[in-house]
Amino acid sequence: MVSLDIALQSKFYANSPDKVLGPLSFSVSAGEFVALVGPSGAGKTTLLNMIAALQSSAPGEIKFNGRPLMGKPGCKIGYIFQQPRLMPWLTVADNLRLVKPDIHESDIGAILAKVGLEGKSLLYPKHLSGGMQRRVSIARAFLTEPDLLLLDEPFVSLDAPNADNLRSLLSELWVEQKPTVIFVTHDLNEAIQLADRILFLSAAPGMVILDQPVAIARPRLPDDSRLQRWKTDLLCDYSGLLEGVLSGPGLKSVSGGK
Amino acid sequence: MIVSGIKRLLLGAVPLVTLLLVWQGAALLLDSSNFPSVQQVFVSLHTHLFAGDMLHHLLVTLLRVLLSFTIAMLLGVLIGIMMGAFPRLNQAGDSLLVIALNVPALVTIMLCYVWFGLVEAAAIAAVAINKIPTVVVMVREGARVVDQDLLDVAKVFQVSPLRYFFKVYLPQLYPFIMASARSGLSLIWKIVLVVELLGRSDGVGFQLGTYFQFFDISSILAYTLAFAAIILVIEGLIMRPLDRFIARGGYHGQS
Repeated sequence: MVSLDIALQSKFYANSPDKVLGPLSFSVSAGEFVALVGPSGAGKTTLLNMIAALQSSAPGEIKFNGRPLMGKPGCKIGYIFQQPRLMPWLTVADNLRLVKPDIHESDIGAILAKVGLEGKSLLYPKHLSGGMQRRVSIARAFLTEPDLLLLDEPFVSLDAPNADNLRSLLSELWVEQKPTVIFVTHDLNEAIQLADRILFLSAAPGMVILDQPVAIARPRLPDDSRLQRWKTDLLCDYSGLLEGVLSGPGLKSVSGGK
Repeated sequence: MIVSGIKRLLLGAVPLVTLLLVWQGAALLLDSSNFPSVQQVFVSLHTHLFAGDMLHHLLVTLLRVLLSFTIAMLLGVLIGIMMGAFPRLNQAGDSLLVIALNVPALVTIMLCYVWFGLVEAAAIAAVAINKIPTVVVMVREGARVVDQDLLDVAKVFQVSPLRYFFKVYLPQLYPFIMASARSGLSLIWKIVLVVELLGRSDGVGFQLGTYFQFFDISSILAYTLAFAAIILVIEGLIMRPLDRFIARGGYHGQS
């Protein structure tokens, strides 16, 4: 497990005067599940890519367990991208072996069984449905037992039952391995169901406008009335949250949290 | 499965049989030693194959083709990857590449023979130098459009450099390498014949030159037929299985 401290002054798109992020500052405790919710273009994916050392850092610092990120991943990272990003020329088993070459055949079978893909190890990604490909990408991310798991809207464009199944699967695997998680989503219901804490970002340039702990005991099911009530209360207090604007009656007590 | 295979074979044979029939008809009509009939060419092929030294010359040419092909592919892929991956190197080398693409094959061959002598190494080098630029161009295009998203997966999961190259990077270039290999093989064997004609004392090119001096068109066509048959066998036994291997998982390269 790893803790994260992020303090960025600003981040610009390459060859563009448009600022995408910052100033931005927040911390994530080891083993914590944090959701980032914000409008399109708020720089959520850019932030994940910077944490994963896929994009160059900006003025400021990203620290892993107090140590600054130095151009390569600062710990064992699992990343579930918006698209599954499986290598089309590798079978399911070989896609898993790519990230963990010394894995035993039986372990491949076990992780595939866990994500509901028993007996699919020799198939190529093109033979799998979109939902199945995402399951493989979830298996790949958890296979390395990451210290930090980054998720970039992994359930977008899936049908509701499939997305619900995958959320439950993600929840189970997180409870089992307890990596630190940063989960980017547009879907507030999803964030409330899964996260310990939700960070709401403003529209570009992305800044944290509200840091809200989700004090609802687990397990949390999608149709849980507590989740709906929590969401309604939150949006009553801060009506413009999902548009990236902090407005509404709750603004007066913003420092106190919910 | 078998029926469809037979159908495919028959479909492929139709144009070939038509060509042979037209050829035979034209030869009968013209009745000239400069336009031998199909039958005469096959008789000549049989004679050279079993009573002459055709096999030796075919083998010599084939070795030259394989050697220069391998050198051209290795160097071409290496330079192509470097130019595709490093824009500054590409900028620096681009004008040189355009010149290399446009230098006539004949000039390269002559210069190699003049500078290095009428030796085997000069012949192989001349062929390879002719082919390398076209391989570079095709592989460079592939290296420019590698899927960054897939490379990012390997970076995030800290895949070792060797696995990164062979399992993630190179497979994206296979369709481009394969296309350049395909076009390369047909181009190289034609250049090899010129090289042999100009400066070697064996090989199919040398034999063609000899038969040309005697206006022995039957022998020229017999040699051509024999070497084309070898290329067809290479295509069937090596290129097509490689194609199938590359297309496993339905990957045909970035669009």
